[in-house]
Formats: sequence, structure tokens, C-alpha cells
Amino acid sequence: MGITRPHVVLAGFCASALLATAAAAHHGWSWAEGELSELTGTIQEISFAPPHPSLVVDIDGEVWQVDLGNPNRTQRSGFVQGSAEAGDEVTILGNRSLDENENLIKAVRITIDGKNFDMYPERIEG
Amino acid sequence: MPDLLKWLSGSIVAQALTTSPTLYLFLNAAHILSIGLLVGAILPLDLRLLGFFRRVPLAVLGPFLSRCAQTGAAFAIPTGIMLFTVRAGEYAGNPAFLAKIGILAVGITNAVLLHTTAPWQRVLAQGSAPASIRLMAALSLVTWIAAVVAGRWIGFV
Repeated sequence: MGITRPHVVLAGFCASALLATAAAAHHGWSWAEGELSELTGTIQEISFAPPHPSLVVDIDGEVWQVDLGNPNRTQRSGFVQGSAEAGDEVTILGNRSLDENENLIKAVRITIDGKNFDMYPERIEG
Repeated sequence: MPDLLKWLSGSIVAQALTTSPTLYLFLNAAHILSIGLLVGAILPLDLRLLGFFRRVPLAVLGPFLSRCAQTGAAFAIPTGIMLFTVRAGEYAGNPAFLAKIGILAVGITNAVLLHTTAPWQRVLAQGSAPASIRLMAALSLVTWIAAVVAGRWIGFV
């Protein structure tokens, strides 16, 4: 018993670490395509709730989730409560999920009524 | 239930946390700190009950670490509830969140049972744990590590 116990503990920690790594998804960009895509649709819902403000957008009849920057970045981009409302047209520049069946995009810029809100200016080329 | 979730999401707490990213950040840090205290106290106590660090007297370690863990829980629960309000509906449907709540229920029940069962006083006095207490300590070890993993998983579903 005295010998096996530390091994059990260690195995538990290793298993936890493995599971945590395998699950990495929305954080960072590793789950998304490298190149930027541009999509246009109609806003259905807007949420500023942390940890990730997001939009639900109807794009060609399909429902997309649009993750914005973290709350501070979103605020600094100028996109705040009242900047847009459901029904507005929005153009999203961002990185789509690597999974083509998943309607998910992380925005680096959204454009509403000709106004740009840059969440990740350093990721926008040119 | 949906009404309650909706009410929570529209509550003053949720609104304040949504309006101020800095407030959210500090609340988040407070939750992590509370969990650190909770788990940081429970794991060494469990290991001591399982037979590690036998040189440290259980009569000293037991009550002290229990109190630390209770303090951690006393802060972790309210901060957790406040964090929950910002996206109540979403979290209520998040499998990792639901798993975490289930795991916490097991962990808290186990901890309460450990303290209320008679042998606990004897354990403190004798300085070594019988098989039943060791089993609870092992369960506690697994449960609280699993709770941390499930908690982190919420953001990765």
C-alpha cells in the first residue's frame, strides 16, 4: 500500500492534465482557421456578459455564434450596449472554427452601419 | 427554473458584472483564491489521513486545515453564485458546469459526513485513521481534484 499510493495520486494528476489539454477549445485561436473570413448577416441577439461577449447572427438562414473579444477588448473597440440592436446588419471579419460543421467564428472586427469595431487590430492585415 | 435563470441574468449583480469587466475580473480572482484555500487545505489533510506526513500531529493539522477549507468554501460558494448569474441560462445547460455541481455535492456531503461520524474525534485523538476514514479521504482527494477540472472545463465545452 505504502508504495502504490503516491503512484495513484500521480496518475490522477496526469489524467486530469491530459483531459484538460484535450478539451482546449474557445480560448486562444488554436481551434480556429489561420486565415480570416468575412461573413455578413443579421443580428439576432447581443450579449455583453463575460467572460466572452457574443452575438447570435443569422447568416443566409443559418444561425451563427460570433465570439467577440474579451470584455475589456470589446469595450475598447467601442462596441458597447446601445452600439447595435437585434435586426441590424453586421459584417464579421474573423477566424472560423476548424470544424466546418460548426457555425462559430471569433471576430477580430465587426462592422455595423459602416462603423468598424476592431477587437483585435493586431490580427487585421494591412 | 427558466424564470429563475432569467431573473438571475437580469439581476443587479449580473448587470454590474457585465458593465464592468474589471469588477468581473476581481470577482473571478476572489473565486480562484477561495478555491485555492479550499483545495490547498483539503488535499494535504486527505493525504495525512491516508498515511502521508505521519510526523505532523493530526490533532493539530485536522482542525486547522478543516477550518481553512471551510473558510475557502464560505467564499467560493457566494463568489461562484455571482459568477453564475452573468450567463445563468447558458451555464445551466453546460455539461461541465452540471458535472461540477454534482461533484461538489458529493465532496461537500463527504466532508460533512467525515466530520459528523463519531470516529473523526477518535482519529484526531489517536493520530491515525481507520479504513472508513481513509476511504472518505481518498474519495475527497479524487472529488476535489475532479471539481477543479470540471470547473475549468466549463469554458472549453
